[in-house]
Amino acid sequence: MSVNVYRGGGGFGALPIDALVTALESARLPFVPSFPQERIELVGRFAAHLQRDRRWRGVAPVQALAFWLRKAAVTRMADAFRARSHPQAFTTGRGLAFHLPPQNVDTLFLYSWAIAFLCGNANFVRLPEQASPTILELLDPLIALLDEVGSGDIFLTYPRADSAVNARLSGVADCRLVWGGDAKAALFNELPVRVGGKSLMFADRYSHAVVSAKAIARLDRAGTDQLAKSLHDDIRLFDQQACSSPHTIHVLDAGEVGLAAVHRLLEKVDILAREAPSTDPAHGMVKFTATCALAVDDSLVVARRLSNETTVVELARSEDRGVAIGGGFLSLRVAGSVAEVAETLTGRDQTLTHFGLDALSLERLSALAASRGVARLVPIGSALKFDQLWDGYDLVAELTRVVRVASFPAGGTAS
Amino acid sequence: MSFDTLVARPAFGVSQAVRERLMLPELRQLTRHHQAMCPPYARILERVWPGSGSFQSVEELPFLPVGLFKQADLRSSDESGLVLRSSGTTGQVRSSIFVDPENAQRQSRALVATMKAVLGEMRMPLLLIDTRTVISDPGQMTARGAGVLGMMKFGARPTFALDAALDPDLALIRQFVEANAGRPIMLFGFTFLVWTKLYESFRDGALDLSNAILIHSGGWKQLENRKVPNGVFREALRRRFGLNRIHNFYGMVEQIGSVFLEASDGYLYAPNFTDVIIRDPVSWEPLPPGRTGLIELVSLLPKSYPGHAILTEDLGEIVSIDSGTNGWLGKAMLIHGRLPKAELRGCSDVVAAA
Repeated sequence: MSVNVYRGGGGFGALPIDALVTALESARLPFVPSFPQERIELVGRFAAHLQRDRRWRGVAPVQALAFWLRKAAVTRMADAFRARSHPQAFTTGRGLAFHLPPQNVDTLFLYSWAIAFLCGNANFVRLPEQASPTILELLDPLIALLDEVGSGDIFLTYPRADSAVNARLSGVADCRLVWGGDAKAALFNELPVRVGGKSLMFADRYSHAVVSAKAIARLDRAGTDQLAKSLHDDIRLFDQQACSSPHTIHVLDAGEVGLAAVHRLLEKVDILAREAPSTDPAHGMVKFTATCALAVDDSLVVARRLSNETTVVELARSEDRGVAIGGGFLSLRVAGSVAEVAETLTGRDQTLTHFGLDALSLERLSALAASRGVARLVPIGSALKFDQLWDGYDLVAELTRVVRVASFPAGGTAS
Repeated sequence: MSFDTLVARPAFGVSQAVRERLMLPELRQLTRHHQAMCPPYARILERVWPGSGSFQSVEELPFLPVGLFKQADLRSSDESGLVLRSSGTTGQVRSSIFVDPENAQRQSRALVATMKAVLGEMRMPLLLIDTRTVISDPGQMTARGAGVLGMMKFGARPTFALDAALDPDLALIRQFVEANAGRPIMLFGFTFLVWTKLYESFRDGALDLSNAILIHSGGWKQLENRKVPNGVFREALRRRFGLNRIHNFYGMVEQIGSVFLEASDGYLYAPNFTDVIIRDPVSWEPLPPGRTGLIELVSLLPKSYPGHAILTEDLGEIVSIDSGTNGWLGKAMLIHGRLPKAELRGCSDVVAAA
């Protein structure tokens, strides 16, 4: 039984599982406080390298990653973390963090790794077996930096269905981060982590946008263009397949001004998509088939194929909540109030992006959404922006261990 | 009725302009029929194709995506009938097509008219490169079974060349050929079976099929990796068996009965009561001859289900219009295979634990 460890420069080397586990156990031992300066520096240098490297110019996901990891941002995260610290306690990593990033979002594993690394964990990351050139090219400078400081973090791969390896590696993990949907989560739910360890599951999720038609109608041309760009970024960066990309757009205040302004906005979104077409003809057929199937089910009142990139359907009934087709398929749902938005939400829903809601509406929506299991409301344009608060978890809190060090006996006893 | 007019003529004998003129009123009528009889179809027309009811040309006729027949049971008939299913590989969702007796009769008339163009009036002894078991369960009829059953009508004394395990009965094949030496015979089979079970079972010159007409269809299915180009296929069969008269046909269960038949030039011709439109894969605008795009199939046959205009997921091109090869008119087409499958990025792994 062995795994393939990434050595940099596109090359992998086989490592027997026993040797891997030995290496991981020894990397786990040294004490590392959370947010140590040298780890902040290392992450900052990695980000600076990505920002400088010409090959990533204009590659939006990598630019977003580099921006998120830059030294100033990481330092702010560290400061905020310290500001929340408990008296008579210190924080360290939980130990060994096992990362199982999704197959198709090339940059996510680095967010997952970076947070755990900053928190003070030793890490091992399972890369997809067919790791994209992007993944390997992103890793090369990072591996060089990690080697420089003698880090034991390991990026490796092995057949995804190898349950013996999955079980063995889960058994040494103090925390395991499983990204990639329900089937994968179910597979790992069977496999215990180290005693006292924890497993964070990021399951399949669906996301929505909530907009005020009245507020969109009031926008001037520049404002409309800006909003179209933001919505385009939310939808298009990962072909609308990221869990936080909206599929359904709930339209408030449509009674007063109608849907025309929303349709005009979506036409602009489509124009932006057509500037860099990413929908292949086969997916165009998938969207057309889905459109017709919705009409068969009497679930839509009208469908517009703006181009091969974008299809917009207006849902027929309030119980129709839209479908996750992806690749530029948007369902419009008219809602009379934020309560009518919230009534469609379930724990399967992840992000609500919003535009044009007043403070009171947003507050009401967030309370109703939270009661139904939704844990993220952010402005349109921020859907894909990674955040240490994710799926209702504070990842920094989840990936740290708080150690009580009391010098004096506290009042009371807890026997 | 233009269907009756068109089906009565030699199947490839009507020029493109004339058939469009004859088909258009009947396509309008068919569209109205489906609208009245199939409420889901009416909703698609009204909500997905608003304003398209008054189409002025075959190209403007609203079409359905072929994949819809996998997701919805669409029928435009209150009669009882049978449901045909596409062959589909394991795990795939299969199309289901509802065929009532009237529709079955239209299909049958259309197929007779089409096949007459190569088989003539006489029924020849028929050797089927398939197994009898493919037609043994009428309740579970596959497209292959329906194809075999449909073709059996055109031959006499059908003989099945393969056993239940799809192994060829070589002695039976030789016996069939020897018994019919010197008179015309008909062979029918799916392309990959003809190649792997007939062609590969004999050496060059070991079997004389110079008196045979081969009709084949269905492509290569699970044997895509062993696929040979049509030109190679034709030449190999000619060399091995002296088999010169070979006619591939293209059709699909979603428009069963409408078959595009290969002429001696190797191209597939649309029979009179059908049309084919090649569309740009992105814009879906009609493309001129010589350009490759998505194949849209138009047919006057589908009456018990709204399948008279279907956008397929196959790629092809129009090679010529009214070429006159073998005296055949209408559009001649080349198929370029399936549209490559879509792959989306995303954070939900398609397969467990990727």
